[in-house]
Amino acid sequence: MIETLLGTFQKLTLRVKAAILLSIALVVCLFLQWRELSSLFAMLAIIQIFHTIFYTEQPRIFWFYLIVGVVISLWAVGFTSVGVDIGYIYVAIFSSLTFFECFRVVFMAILKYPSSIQNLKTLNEDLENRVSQRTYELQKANEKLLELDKMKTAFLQQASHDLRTPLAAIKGSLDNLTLGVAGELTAKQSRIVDRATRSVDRLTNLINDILDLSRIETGRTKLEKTNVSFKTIVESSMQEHKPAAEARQIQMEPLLCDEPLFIHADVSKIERIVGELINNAIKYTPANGTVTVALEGKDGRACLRVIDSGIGMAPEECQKIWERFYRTTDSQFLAKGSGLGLSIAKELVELHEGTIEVNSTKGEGSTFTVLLPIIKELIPHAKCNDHHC
Amino acid sequence: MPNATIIIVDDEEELRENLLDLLEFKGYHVVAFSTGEEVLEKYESIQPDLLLLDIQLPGIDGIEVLSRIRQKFTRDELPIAMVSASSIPVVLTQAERAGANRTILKPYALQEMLSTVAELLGDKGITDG
Repeated sequence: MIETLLGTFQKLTLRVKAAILLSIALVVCLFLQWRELSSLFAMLAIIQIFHTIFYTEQPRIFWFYLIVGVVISLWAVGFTSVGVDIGYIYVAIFSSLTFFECFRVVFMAILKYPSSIQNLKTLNEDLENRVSQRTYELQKANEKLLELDKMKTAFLQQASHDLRTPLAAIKGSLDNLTLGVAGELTAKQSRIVDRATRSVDRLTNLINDILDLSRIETGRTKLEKTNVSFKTIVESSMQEHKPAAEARQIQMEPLLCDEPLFIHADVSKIERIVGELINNAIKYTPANGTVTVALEGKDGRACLRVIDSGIGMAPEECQKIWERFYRTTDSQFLAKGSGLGLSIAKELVELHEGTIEVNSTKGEGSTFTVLLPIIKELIPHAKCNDHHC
Repeated sequence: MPNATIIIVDDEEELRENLLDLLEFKGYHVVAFSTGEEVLEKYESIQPDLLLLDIQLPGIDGIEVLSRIRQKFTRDELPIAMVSASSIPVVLTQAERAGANRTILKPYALQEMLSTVAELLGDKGITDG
């Protein structure tokens, strides 16, 4: 408490300090009834206070002195005979000062009134100008964004067309050769043409993946949702991937529930998700391994698990596999890929309000789990496609 | 052997020639054009059984050609498959709305093209052997 008071005291200006000290001395002298000294200190204190008030910019100090002065005066009047004169002087001076100060404030306000109005007007105009300026800038920025969006769409459309056209020409030429349009091919010629065809297919898939991701990211992917049986999609996807699994001597094991598990989804996108996961499992499982595809209903959700006995991943790689173009170190030795398939699968699952996650142990295999909301009740006469509706 | 007549329209020479080679090899009678104007001028005199029409064409584009032909011939009277290198869904939807029997995306798989052609020609198509 004392420290705080001392701290505050030290921050005061010299004049205020002097006024306070003189006031204290005055009170002490009044208390001890030292008449001469009281008068002296009273005069000095009043002079200091007078100076302090007129040279200070802090109105609080003014009111502080007024209150202190009145209290001291009353005390002096009430309890000491010598303090009567001083008390009257104190009250008189403070009353005059208060009146003078009030008058000064009002007078200054009147003097400043016209310029205040002008200032207010200028401030208003300034504010309005700033608001219009910012609004204009925002409009411009918005127009620029819309323009950029249009350019992006146009670029995608053009890039899509310009990349596919030469690919279509190469693929068409290779197909014609394979078909024997230019005569029967020898075994060696066939192998060369096959090699070129595989590369073109790979490039085509890569371009399709990049364009697909770009469409998803820019929110241009439109879902054409119908009520479909998730089980039917999984079954047909397994059927489709059977030759690839057999070619790599991989056992595909279905572990599917009896229920059709209806979901409200875009069939082509769900086919893509399931296909990506099965394809991924086959690619990264060495010969004689197994890929198990399990499907069941769980807490109002369809739960698809694709379990492989493949190369697996280190824990730190598990989160990175959803990133674009990311490929684990081991995967690069085992199979070709762009590192986009799983990114697309994740985006598509999330577009369907589902979740996808992976659990993996390096050298032992991986389990990819997809959860999608099941439709509780099928709406009668709802628009259905041929997938079990 | 009843050779069906197919008109192919594509401004990309390589694609046009490839498709021409393929379909001729399969025994169809093929007439190829590179612009929409040409095909609109000549298709009626050729009396084709099927049109394979590229969407992005210089001048009158594929959708416009399709719309104009549809003013005279229905989907059943003259089947038209639109072929496009653009995978933008809007473009494909536009084609279907304008009266396309099918849309085929480039680069197409050989079997996809041949089976689409056979399906759209129906009885008019040729059978191997």
